[in-house]
Amino acid sequence: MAQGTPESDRSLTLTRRQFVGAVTTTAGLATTGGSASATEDGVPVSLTVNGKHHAVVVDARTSLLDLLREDLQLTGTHKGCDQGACGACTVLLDGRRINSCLTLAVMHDGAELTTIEGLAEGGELHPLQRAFIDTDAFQCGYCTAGQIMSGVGCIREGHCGSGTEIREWMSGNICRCGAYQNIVAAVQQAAKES
Amino acid sequence: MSALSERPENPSVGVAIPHESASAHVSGLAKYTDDLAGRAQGTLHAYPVQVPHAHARITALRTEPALAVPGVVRVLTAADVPGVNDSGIHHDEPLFPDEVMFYGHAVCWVLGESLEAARLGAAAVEVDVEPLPALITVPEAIAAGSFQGGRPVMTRGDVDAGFAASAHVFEGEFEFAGQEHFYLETHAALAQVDENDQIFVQSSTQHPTETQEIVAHVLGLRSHEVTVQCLRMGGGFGGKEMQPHGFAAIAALGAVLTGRPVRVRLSRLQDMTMSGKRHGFHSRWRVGFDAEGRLQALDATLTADGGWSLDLSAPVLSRALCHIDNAYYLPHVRVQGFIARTNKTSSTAFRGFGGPQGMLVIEDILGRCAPLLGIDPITLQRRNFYADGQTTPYGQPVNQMTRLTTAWDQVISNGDISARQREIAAFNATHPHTKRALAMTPVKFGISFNLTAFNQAGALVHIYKDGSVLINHGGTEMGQGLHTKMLQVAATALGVPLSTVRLAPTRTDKVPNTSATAASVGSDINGGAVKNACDQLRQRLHEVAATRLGAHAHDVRIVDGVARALGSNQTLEWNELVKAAYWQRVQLSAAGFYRTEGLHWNAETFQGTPFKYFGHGVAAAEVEVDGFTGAYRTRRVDIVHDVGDSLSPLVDIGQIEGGFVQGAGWLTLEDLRWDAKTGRLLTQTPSTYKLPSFSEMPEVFNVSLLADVPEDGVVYGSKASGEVPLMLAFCVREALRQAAAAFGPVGTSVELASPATPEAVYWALDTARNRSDVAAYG
Amino acid sequence: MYPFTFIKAPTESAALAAGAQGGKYIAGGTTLVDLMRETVERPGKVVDITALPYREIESGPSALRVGALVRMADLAAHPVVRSRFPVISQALELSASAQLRNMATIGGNIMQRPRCLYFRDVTAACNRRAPGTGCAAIGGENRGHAVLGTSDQCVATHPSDLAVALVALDAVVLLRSRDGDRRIPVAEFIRRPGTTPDKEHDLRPGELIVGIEVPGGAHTARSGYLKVRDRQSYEFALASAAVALDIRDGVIRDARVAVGGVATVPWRLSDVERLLIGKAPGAELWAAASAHAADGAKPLHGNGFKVELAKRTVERQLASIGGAA
Repeated sequence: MAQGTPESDRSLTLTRRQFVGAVTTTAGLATTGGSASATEDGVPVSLTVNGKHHAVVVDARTSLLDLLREDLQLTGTHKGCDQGACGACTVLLDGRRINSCLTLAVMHDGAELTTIEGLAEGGELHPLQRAFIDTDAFQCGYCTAGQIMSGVGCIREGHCGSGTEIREWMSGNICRCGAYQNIVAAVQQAAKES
Repeated sequence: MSALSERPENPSVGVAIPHESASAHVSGLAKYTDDLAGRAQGTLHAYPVQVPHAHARITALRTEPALAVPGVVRVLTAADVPGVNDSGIHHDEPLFPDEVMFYGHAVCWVLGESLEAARLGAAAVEVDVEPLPALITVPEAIAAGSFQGGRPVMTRGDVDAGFAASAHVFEGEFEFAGQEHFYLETHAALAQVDENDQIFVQSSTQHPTETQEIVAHVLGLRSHEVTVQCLRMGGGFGGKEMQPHGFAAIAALGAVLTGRPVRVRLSRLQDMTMSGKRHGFHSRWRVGFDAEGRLQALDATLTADGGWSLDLSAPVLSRALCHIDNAYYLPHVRVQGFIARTNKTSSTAFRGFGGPQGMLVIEDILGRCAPLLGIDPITLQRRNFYADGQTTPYGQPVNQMTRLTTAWDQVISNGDISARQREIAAFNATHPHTKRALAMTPVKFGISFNLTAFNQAGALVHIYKDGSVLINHGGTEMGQGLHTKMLQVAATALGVPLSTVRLAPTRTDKVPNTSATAASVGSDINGGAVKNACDQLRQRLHEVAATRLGAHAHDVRIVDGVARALGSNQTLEWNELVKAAYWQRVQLSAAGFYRTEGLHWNAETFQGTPFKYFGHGVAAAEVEVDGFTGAYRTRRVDIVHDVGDSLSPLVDIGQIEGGFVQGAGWLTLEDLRWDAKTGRLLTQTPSTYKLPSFSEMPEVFNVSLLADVPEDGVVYGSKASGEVPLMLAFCVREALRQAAAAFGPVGTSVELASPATPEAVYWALDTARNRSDVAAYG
Repeated sequence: MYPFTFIKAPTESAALAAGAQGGKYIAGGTTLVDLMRETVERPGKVVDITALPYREIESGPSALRVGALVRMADLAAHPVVRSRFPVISQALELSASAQLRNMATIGGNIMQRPRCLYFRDVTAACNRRAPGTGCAAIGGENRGHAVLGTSDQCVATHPSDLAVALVALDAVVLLRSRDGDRRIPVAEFIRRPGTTPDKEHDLRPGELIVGIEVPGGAHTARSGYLKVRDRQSYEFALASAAVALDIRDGVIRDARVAVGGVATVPWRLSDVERLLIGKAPGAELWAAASAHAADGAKPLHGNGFKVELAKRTVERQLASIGGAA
């Protein structure tokens, strides 16, 4: 199959895949309309998200992030880059922080996920959620869910000994608004409470 | 102090409160445009067909193969446009072009039942092209005479006389790239035809009115048939001031033609390759100093890289010219501006809007020349500050220099600058392979839209019968805390607790004809409008309260939701007051308006008073550079910033810290590069375009607001904070220059590329290290 | 991403059978999912091996054995690795981000594919991805590319930090197939492009990495990894150096030096090591030895700085590990 076309031709026909680049994965079979789309065999996946069990059938290409957002309507976890570089999609998988955009949903049958929507318990904000409000640790808020889930992971991993350590261990989360100073303060505050 | 600026008792403004959406953000409940897609039924997904040629004529477009892909519903092309095939306001940006103008230009869009179907459909579309010659770099464009827009000239005095009187004259050239916005939320729009046959578009846009205008004229409709709402943006930074309109128009066109909602969400790659960025600039300069290092003359040419279409390039260039002075008095000036037309994405607004670029030129000049003049850079900068009463080269009087000098002095004392400079000198003398340096930057930045007509805003405030208040204004929220400030303004103006007031999303059917949320004036002008609406309501409520309390309306005070008359203990609770007003048939809704007074600008002569006031800030940065690798760290930053009497301190401090980080990113890390042969954007992913991370934060970061500096003539004495702080980061660049110079003999002038990556710093320090004399410079 | 059949292998034999039939193994997925999304990788069948047991971290007297499915984060945090093989834990912790390190496995890490933007762009000429189509990097954007180990077919830098540390320590890859087990040094497992840039690894069809083995020795404890990059965190190296020194009684008994970020494979500097062994540590020695860190370098138009940077990075790290005296 042709890969790249010589640019010297006067009149070129650009066929498929001439400009593909990083393509987002498809949504699962359970589209917004509720009807299954006619793609390849769907793969059944059962997982527990925020304490609630879900059994879905998805296209194998579905990322965990798209499963959450498109199939389960949990839109609190955001898509910033879809290539593991910004951390906005961070969730807790079996208690560990990961980038949900860079893993396939079908690999996590039986897993337990916690997303931002499930962090508060019984109406009580998690100490880190509270700390984010106390220290004003966001501006546009788009990276916030990922920052908080990553912060929870960071605290669990025990890497909050100092501001320097927090900065290094949270460095997989980008904040374009530059609220880093306050995010570090929030993580420090919550780490003390843990 | 004017009525606009004076604060009442117990105001909400000035209180450090959390962002109004705080609890929604931390619990994942705050919605952004694409999060709404799941709420509509039968939504179609739109996917662009991008052409990989910097410049080409389309000779054929075959969409039938796309229609054969399962799930593809329609392909939108120029033939589908009922109105005008245009996505910009200058009529130079076809929505469906027949000439490809940059690598990755979208020529048509595919609508599919799923994103996958739309994507496969887009890949199936066949586009025949005839490649055309392309101009990629600014020097290429200059050589080819490829320009667009105007060629403003700013002059004052007589530069030739100025040079003749100069003891030292230097020349140089400086080219630097722009900056990618990288808002975490990419461009998104969701359009549908609603139950009233209204075209309703949710758009991640800083300028709902213009989005509305473009959607309307693409659809061949009148504005009143289109409503645009912006719930919030996951970052804007100027990148959503003009760029969203075309995407919204695609979604709206699709919705009208299919009868189904249409979702547009650019992937990160699409966003980076299709949307415009900060203008890079090329500059040539000649500068003259007197024997004491005072600037005498500056003759410069600034060429902005406009990309393929004009977009906001003209005002960006104007602002660049208006800020080449920064805080320094230039008695004789001649600056000529050009906008290059190149075959790249159309450069657009980005925090600072040409101001950072103009200021970068003068700071680079001072940084390069200080060692040649034998004058310490901080002394050189201070010596050249304006004195109150002088005017800028474009004729605006400067009369708040005490703000800047006070901030300068505070940074020097809070930052312990003199002692640290001595420590740094001692450190450098004993460390051959590691050097430190400390530099300062003053910032003077003009606040108002350069185009006077944009300095207007509206608001709509409703008081419901139960006493609850709903406010609407024309500004949009992109994280800069505008909505938070507006709630505080409303609560203050009405005299009620913050909890009484709620804010509704920005929509064109609430407030019409709004300006973009830009130029840092969002809170100035929308705050003025909100206050105006609230003042009208307050007036009416005072009348009602007066009769109830047996007092004169002027003697009524409403504080914390309780009305009292002066000298009386009788009280009237807010809810009672409102109810009484309703039953008296007093209007409990008001439309507010604000126009910035005192502005005028003559674009022909490049003279006037375009700015309501200047924002000021001062920063000092200390860096440490590794002589082996050029790697560096920022040890400490101290900032004192003038935001007048802050409307919302946490918000303003956030803007200062965030602006600084973004400016530092532009100058040290973010290296936007295009392939000079193909015009393709090489740094098109976050792994190749490096954004500041936690680790780039200074180890010590001290930020404080200048105290006791209320700004008369602006809402509640406040000043803008959005863009001004970005330029504070220049001190990081200058500190790196000085640290590199420290590897060489005293008096070494260092040319430092921008961004000052470790590699650039290494080359600079290596050049300094190998220098055996101090005479010549680059 | 192209459609594929997904299989979760419940046992080693099922995994090996699926691999023998052309299935592509996936564990952490951080490389594969990314490349599949860019359509650089288009496997017809993807085999999830995360149910397999390769999760041991065993430190014996003579060697450290690490299962292929051990996560980067877990290996980096292991107390024995931190104290006895700090170059490994440092190389790991300077890689990627915490989230990615929680996902990615040791086996996947050494199979990592290049960051070259032309490799990752299916419309560009790339001999590694599509043999015979040319190399767009040689005349194009090549600031991040290699100055060592290149050929006229490919100049892509090897991206793994861990692999540099492993090569410095003579680590071995443990492979298994239906035909049995095989051992091969990491330095031979990861191949230079030569005339076959598409053959990145000495991995035979149906073979699965089950683990790595790092020989112990007196040199491993006094070791470390230095990474030079534009951004202070979460970034691939411009240049890096893994150094391990056995210094006793003021004499260097053993030295291991390898550089990353500058070569098409993790680049062992045996000549530099020879100059160090038997000498007394000191600044002059570091300077003299590191002067050879880039011997044989062939810079491209955009990456000439790496020649100097490689030497200086080695010098800096020798001083750091061996003492600045």
